[in-house]
Amino acid sequence: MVAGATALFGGLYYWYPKITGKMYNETLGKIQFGVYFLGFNLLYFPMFIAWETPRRVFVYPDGLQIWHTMATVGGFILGASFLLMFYNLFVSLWRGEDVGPNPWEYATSAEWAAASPPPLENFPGVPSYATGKLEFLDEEAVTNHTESTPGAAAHGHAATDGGTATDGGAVTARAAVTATEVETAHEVGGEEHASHASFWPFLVSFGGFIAFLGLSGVRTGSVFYLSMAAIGGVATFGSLVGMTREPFHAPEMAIAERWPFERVEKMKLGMWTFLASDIVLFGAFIGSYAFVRVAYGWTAWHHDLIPAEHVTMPGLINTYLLLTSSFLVVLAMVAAERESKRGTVAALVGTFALGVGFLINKGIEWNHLFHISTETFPSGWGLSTNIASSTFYLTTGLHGAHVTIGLIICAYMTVRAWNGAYQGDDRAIEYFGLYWHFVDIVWLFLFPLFYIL
Amino acid sequence: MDWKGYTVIYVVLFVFATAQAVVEFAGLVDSAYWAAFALIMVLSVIKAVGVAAYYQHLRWEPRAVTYLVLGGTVAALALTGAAAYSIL
Repeated sequence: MVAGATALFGGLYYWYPKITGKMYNETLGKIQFGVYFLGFNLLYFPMFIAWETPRRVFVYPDGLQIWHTMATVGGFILGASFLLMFYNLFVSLWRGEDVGPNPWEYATSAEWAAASPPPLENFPGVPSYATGKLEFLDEEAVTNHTESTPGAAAHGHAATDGGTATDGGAVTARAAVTATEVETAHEVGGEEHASHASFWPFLVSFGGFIAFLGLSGVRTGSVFYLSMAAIGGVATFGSLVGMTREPFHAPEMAIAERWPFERVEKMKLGMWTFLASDIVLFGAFIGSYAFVRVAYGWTAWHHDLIPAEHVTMPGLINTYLLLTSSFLVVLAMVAAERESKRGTVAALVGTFALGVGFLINKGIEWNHLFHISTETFPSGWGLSTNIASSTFYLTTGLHGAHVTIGLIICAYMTVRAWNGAYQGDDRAIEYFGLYWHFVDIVWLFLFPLFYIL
Repeated sequence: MDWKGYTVIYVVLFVFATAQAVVEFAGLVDSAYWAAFALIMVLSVIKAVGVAAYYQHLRWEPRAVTYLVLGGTVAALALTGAAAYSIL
């Protein structure tokens, strides 16, 4: 595994001049390689001899002592070699010699043709190796290359959330798919969008960091943590709104291959890819639930670990609430298609209200279970009462977090719909619907698994 | 699909959800657990496929999108299956 990491550090040395425009002390770099090599092998090679020593278990046969000691020394040497590397790379940021595009004698790949550090829009044309060496093709050459593949030139501009575009160049992606006009990504990127860089994603992650740092201490009840969670939450939300206000354009090269998704809009495909990853997330939670329940004894689980007060009804009510809200999102889409602003707003408000109802119902249910007092569970069925309670709260809690995020999006879209967005273009509502229906589908499995069976 | 079609789907989903609870209220979960288990899970799968096919429009999308979703599902099942190796 660390052999792979070694290649990573090799890559860092290789591209450091490209990233920073500075050269480091190569002699010091070679010394680090030597120290690293020594430490690496001293750390890991004895493990081939002292194998079957599990991690974190420091009881092992006496005869293996020497190998463990060697590995420990090797670990420190390996660690020390990184001090050399960080010293070298950090100091070179200020004191390193400036380098041109290519400091390496034999590097021929395209990135070394651009200045160091590379500017935005780094290449003067489309890079091509068709002739056997690196060339930059102009627009005409690209056209000649791609004339034989009509329809490959799909490109589109749209605001991030699929609503009204703010860059004035709105081309619906449905139309763009059939477009035959050839336009290179470079041209589109160069004229209207001088910069693809946006500081919003950074602010989103920074706000998220502050929010989660605050959330980590919310249970202490300290005002410091609470206010961090609140400020971080507002910052995250504000940055997300800022990001949706920014025109979003993903350049698509005429020569790019879209198979097998050539008839699927990019934004929709992105949404589905995210949902597929979310299936894996929920799959891990539901899978671990099944795992611990099977390990415990599937049928005994319900009788031993779950109080009789944990009844089906709250789950059934929540199923009805979510199903109905899913239905309303679909109606919002239909209303937007028909350009009925009142219908769109009403359906979105209904979706929001039902989602809030879901959370309130869940809150009442949880609160009830926390405070039950029975013979088996005299002090409530809390987060850490037993394995069944923690899997229940964790899994339905993750789902509740998804509902909460959906509600924030829904509220945002309701305000936009109120201001006249989405009429005649229901795509944004459809994308939100994909997420909301997914949350609904997850509940369709959580309900039977955690309430009935 | 117009609002009438969506409404039909909604009614079916509603009825199936109720049917799942009825299976429990009728005492089937206590008397014949695994039959009830199979029935309830099959109903859940039908509901999920219904929502995905009609509300999420997978029926009308290129089949590749469905395969993308199935890929996620298979990955989740594979993870669980691989973990189950140690207890089964």
